[in-house]
Amino acid sequence: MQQPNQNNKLPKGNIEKPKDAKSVLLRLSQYLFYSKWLLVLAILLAITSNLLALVGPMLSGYAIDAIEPGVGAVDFKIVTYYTTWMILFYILSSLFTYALSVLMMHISQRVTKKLRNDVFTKLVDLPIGYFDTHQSGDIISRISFWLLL
Amino acid sequence: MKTILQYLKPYSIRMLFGFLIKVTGTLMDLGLPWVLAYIIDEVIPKGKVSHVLYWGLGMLLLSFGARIGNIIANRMAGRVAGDTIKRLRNDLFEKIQQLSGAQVDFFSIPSLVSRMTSDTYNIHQMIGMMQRMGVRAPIIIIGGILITATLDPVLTLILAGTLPLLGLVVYFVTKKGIPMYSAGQEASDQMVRIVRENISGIRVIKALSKTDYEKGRFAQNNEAVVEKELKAGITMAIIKPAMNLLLNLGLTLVVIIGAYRVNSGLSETGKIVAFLSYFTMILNAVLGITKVFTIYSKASASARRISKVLREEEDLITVEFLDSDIEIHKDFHIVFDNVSFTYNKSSINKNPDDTASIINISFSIKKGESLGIIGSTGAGKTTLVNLIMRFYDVDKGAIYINGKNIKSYPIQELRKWFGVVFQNDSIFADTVKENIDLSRGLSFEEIEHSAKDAQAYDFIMQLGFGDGEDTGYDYLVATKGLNLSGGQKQRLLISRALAGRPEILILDDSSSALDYKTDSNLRKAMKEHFSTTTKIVIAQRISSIRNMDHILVLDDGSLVGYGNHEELLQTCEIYQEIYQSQMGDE
Repeated sequence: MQQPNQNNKLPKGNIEKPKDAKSVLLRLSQYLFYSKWLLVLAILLAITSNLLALVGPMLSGYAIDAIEPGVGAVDFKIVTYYTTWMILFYILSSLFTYALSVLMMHISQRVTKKLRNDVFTKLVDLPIGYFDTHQSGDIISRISFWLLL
Repeated sequence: MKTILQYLKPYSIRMLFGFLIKVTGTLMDLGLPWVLAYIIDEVIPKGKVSHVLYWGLGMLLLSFGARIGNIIANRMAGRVAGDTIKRLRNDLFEKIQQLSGAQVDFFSIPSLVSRMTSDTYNIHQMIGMMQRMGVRAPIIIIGGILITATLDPVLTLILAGTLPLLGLVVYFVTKKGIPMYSAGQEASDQMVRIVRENISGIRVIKALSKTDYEKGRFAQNNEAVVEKELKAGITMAIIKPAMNLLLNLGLTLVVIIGAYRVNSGLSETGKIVAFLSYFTMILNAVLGITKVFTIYSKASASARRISKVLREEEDLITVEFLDSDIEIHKDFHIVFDNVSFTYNKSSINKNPDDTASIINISFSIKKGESLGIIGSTGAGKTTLVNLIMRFYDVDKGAIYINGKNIKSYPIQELRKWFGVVFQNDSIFADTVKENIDLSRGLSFEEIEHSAKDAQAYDFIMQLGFGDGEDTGYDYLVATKGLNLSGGQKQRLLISRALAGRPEILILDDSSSALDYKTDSNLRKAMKEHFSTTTKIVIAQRISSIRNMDHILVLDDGSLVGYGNHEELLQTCEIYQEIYQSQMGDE
């Protein structure tokens, strides 16, 4: 007669720490590299859009500097000059932010798609014994957590 | 949502307290730019450094106060949300336990699971969010506009003018985006369903080499989910940059118009700087509000799904009994009077197994008698058990126990009379003793007696010896009884059914894995020690039921034979066929 598996004796909480967090992270990061060129593009976009977002407040600082206190002391030429640039940069920055988030979504969906397919493939390829020794509710909650990421 | 509000009620004082702390913290946040403007416009021009430091210290205190207040309030909010959900989940679980078989079929088990898990999670999120962002954002927006109005009413007009535009953007994008999210949610529900099917049906999938087909099916569904989520995401992603753009354009406008106003002496530089701060704060608040809205709409859908379960009326209503019934059926323990039933009435999830139904079944048995039920798979044998224990209500006809319609007994009382072993009944990962007792608090004698009657005693005594582990009744049974053989599991289940000394014992195909000798010993023990117990035995083998007082032969939901073994051999063609086919078995 088979001895009950130590793990099955008591239903434990489902927080299980991976034995080697580093290698798990490494394995998961492979999924990111799966779309590495898109990732590079995303990083470039992120840098540009953030720089653009920084330009706006800088320009507004210059514009405010030109607003000298006192009646008639404001240099309107400078104010107009900087505010025009502000508008341009804000538009650019918004466009870049949108492009970036669309790109990021594409990447993350590609990753989750691959991840889900891999998890499912692994699942159905597991030996029957796994399904006999694990509560199906437990398997489902593990998997669906991944699926719904 | 109303249901959820009721759950929040007991925490109203805690929530009020948290609310006040949150409001104080937020107001301190709001005060910061105002102090900054005051320093630039009023304190600095006077040229006293000590005053600047003094006010600067004030700003520091304000920002500390704001942070601490926010943290305390957020933690309180988290606790309220957690406590609320704990109660909601308990109640939901309790309610699900009470649902009738028909109601469970109607909701379907996966859907009940997701109502218990992800729907309660969504509400948890919302309750927390409402107390945090839901309080902070309106104060920042309204308070911010009020303060800026006192600083410079004209510039405030620009700020106030952009807000409706923001609202419009959020409204239209969300209106388009939410249905897209729901579509994605449906697709991912389907995905979870495929996973469930594969886990529960893994044996047959592997046996028929269907894994590749299943992988393809999953991949296809996965593709659909990704596509839908992407579409929804791309639409919703418009909100943030569009709002940023609108607010930044407003900001530029503040600088331009502010320049004119300063030039004509109507405003001051410090006020413009303060305005820029308020603008950013309000931007974040508006973003927060949109988040609150998305979470709210998700949670209100979840709340609807949950309250649908909570409000589900008990469909197994206890009715008044009729004295006339007692008169008619007083001689019998169990009476089936022209009973018809079908599972697929309005069920949304049609399961091929559920097509079984029974038509016009009538029989009567006296106390202590035994009834055997035999028939091919899908003939409706188990359905009879489901009806007699009132997991489902009959469609037509009536079932009487002790002369009273079973609908007139409170459900709990009715079920107390039964000892039952279902097909594929559950064995729990616990000791042998607890698997028999099942928290009924039975004495050890009762447990031992039932184990002996169920022919389980001998094997229980041998369990675990040689392993050095807990032995006998303390032996730990693994999940699903994996460390027991099929026959041992069945005997353990029969012990469980016998242990409560039931008035009615039902064994649904639960001696199929027993060898002939054990089976016959079991029958003997039941006859000797359970002579006053009415026994209903469903079996595939004629040998298991041939000595029963009555045998009922079911075929496709109809009663095609009723009598004892000898009578049926004479009269019932189907019984003869079954008998012929099993002749060689023994």
